[in-house]
Amino acid sequence: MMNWIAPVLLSSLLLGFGCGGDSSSEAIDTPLSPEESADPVLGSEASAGLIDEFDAATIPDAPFDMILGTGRETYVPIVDGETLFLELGHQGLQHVLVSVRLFGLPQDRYFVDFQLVRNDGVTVSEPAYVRVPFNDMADGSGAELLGYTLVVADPELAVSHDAVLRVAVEGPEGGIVMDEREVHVEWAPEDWNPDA
Amino acid sequence: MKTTQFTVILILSFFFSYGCSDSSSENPQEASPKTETDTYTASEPSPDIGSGDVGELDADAGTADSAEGDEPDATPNTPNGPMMTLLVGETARGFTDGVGREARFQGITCMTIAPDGSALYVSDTFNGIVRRVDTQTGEVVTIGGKALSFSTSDGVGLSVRFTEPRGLGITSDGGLLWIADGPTLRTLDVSTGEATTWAGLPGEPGFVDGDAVEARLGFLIHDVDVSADGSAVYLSDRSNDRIRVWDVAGETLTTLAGGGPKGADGVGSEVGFDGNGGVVRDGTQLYIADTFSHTLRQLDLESGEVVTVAGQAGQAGSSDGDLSAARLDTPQGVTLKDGVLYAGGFDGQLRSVDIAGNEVSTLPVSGLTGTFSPPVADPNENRLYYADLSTEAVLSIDLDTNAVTSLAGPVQPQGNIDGPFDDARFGWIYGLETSKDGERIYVADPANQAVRVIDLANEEVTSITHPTWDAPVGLALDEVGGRLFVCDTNTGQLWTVALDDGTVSALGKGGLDSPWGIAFTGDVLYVAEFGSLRIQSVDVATGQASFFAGTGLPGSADGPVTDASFQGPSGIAWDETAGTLYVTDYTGHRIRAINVAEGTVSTVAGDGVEGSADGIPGGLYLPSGVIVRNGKLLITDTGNHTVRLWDPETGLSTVVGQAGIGASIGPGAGVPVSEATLTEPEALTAGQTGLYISVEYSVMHVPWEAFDFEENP
Repeated sequence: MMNWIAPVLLSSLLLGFGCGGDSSSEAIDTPLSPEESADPVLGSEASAGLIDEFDAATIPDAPFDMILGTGRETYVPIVDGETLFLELGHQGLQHVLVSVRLFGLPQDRYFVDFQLVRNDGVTVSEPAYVRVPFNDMADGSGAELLGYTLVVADPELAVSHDAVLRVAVEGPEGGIVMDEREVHVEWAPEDWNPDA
Repeated sequence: MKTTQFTVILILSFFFSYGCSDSSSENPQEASPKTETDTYTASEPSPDIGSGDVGELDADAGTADSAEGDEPDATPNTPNGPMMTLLVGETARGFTDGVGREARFQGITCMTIAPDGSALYVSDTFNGIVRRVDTQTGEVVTIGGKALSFSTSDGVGLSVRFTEPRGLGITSDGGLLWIADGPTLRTLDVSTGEATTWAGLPGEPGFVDGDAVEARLGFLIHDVDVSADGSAVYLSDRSNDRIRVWDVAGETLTTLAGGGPKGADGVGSEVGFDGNGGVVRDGTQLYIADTFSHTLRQLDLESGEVVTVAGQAGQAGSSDGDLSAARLDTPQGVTLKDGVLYAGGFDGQLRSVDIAGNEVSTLPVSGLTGTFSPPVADPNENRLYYADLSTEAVLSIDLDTNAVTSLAGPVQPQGNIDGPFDDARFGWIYGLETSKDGERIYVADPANQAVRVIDLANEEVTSITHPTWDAPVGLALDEVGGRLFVCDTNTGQLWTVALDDGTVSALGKGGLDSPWGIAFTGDVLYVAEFGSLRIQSVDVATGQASFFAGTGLPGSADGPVTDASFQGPSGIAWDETAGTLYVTDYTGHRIRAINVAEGTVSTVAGDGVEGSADGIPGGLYLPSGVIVRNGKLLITDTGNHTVRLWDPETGLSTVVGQAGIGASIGPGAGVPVSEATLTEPEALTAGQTGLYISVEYSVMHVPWEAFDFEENP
């Protein structure tokens, strides 16, 4: 007989709060204070990803090269201006698929920094600087990472926008290479085959 | 039939809240009230670091009292701007750091303890962060990740992210946490805050043994244990029903046991687990809570042999007795203290399993609601720590006395307790009304069949009740007439409460169809009838009700009151200056305006689709409460977890909370309004010093300085 409970429970049901993957969830924007920025642990000096560090003018040539693509189980090249699709993940978040091919490096785990940044400068991907596995390519020319799920917290910030997909890889000796593509972001259609 | 339907919804709600990643494993129990209370000290917040982010609270900060003196709601502003504070009551879910009761969690799924017992480390899974809880002070600090920013990112400090941290273990020197983060195995250096991913690939669960490139892990690694020398990390891979080991030096993953028929003992792949959960290591023996087998298993790490040590596979139960006769019920985790295993699970029971003594018994502790996390034994004291499921609190259990106290997190968030602010508890809150002198807030508490009265001067809560009240939700004050109107949605009856002596009298003959919000204009009481989809007008002299607006058919038609339609009228407010009633159309996601003199209905905000956009018409998501202030509206946008301001010139804007983020703060100094988050705000009322908002089982205060109003009422 607890009729009163219906609306709030309904809202709980609709919201599913606690799942973390609420499609409308977004990172809470807590900008660094000057004190935080100077903090050796919290500050950007200690926490910068590869992309922020990358400076082609000062970093020596890395003894390897990379090319950026997409695809889930197969490397699919992308060219500037192509549409990059956003798909829902199993946990309720949404992501774009990123594949990376390395030439001149063997199969191993490498640190990679992924970013999806709108043309107006708004970063729409969650931070993703992570040591991920690269498998040998079938033709022996290098190693590849397939179908990395780069999380986009708020799809409204990304869908229908032009953006730059930017990926940097750090080699075992410390060299960094970076590649980027100008893309347009849209929701993936229902019959989308990411490997086509 | 309605009861059944609501039960289903309740279960689904729990499922959505806790079953995000493992539909087979979660079966939370209903909350049962605890009786213990706890004292706490409210520390000053770190001025620079937002709660729930990696940071350090100032250990030397002084204490503060959010409700001191006769002006409990006159919260001082800080360099960060006006602060939102919890005035009274308690909340359950959130991510704030703080001391003891100030802190909030959201889905603790695993804990481990520093070898010296100084701190617990907690996987706060649905916040996506790793927390440290000081076992002496109860201080909670986020040490890895950023709350509600779900990703996998290595590095140090603010660059670190976790997607869904679950199982965690710690090295014997206390310096390194091994954390299963979804289908990846990662470390977090306790002293530097550096996170590194060692195995697995984010977003790609699987089952592959092999080196650091090849290895794939299941999505749900329930627990992790690290060998004494730090060379091996044992993983309870629930998704794959296997126990696996990560060779730290060789960077290889190997399966030790699992894959056989559920419940089968033996070696290697002969062994069958069924949702293996928490593990604890004792030398070369690994004890495993085999959750859905309802047993405890023992894995000899040298021989690889697995045997069942307590319970019978496939037979859930709670009977005590010798090891083979006793029955266990979905044990989630296990810990070891002085040679005795302690197992906790969904049933809220703590079972002791004395293998040497061949005895299983149930500890006589009360107030536990169940747990996902393994209990954790304090290495120095005869004490266990327990992550309580329904209350989202870390509890401390004295094994000598069986007393349960709160170490961190909410203390009995939901209840029916009158008394001083620190002790008072509410069941849920819908209606809020503030007296004109600003000294009292009336609270509709349908879960307790009561109207609660918050006495701001004396910092005390009392209750007004009536034997026939079932679910009071709507309130309207008539201070000229010395009465409070109360609307009971379950019985469909209106009531008046005399403000001088508390006498309760029926108004009219009832029969209203799920009435919700009410608004008094001075001579007419308007009722938003959620069930009939109409607005009723009630003559307060006679109690006679008559249909005022709405056809009774669901819709969003504007126009004459006789032709207009609503989808779920909920809140209602009277703007005397404009002669307008404002109605929140809850399931219509709109704000409707009724010009009483003209008899017309119009839509002033919301486009009818769930949304959070600002502007005109803007988006709303289950708007519920509404008040008028200086010609503008303040609206609880429940589904968005925000408070919205509607200005007739500029439309909607978000003034408190962040859309899509349902998180509450605890008591203490509060958080800057610009950073504040809410969980399903329902009701709101204007006080002298600020806005009061109901959030879960509490009332929050936001000072008027936080709003862009030209003047106070």
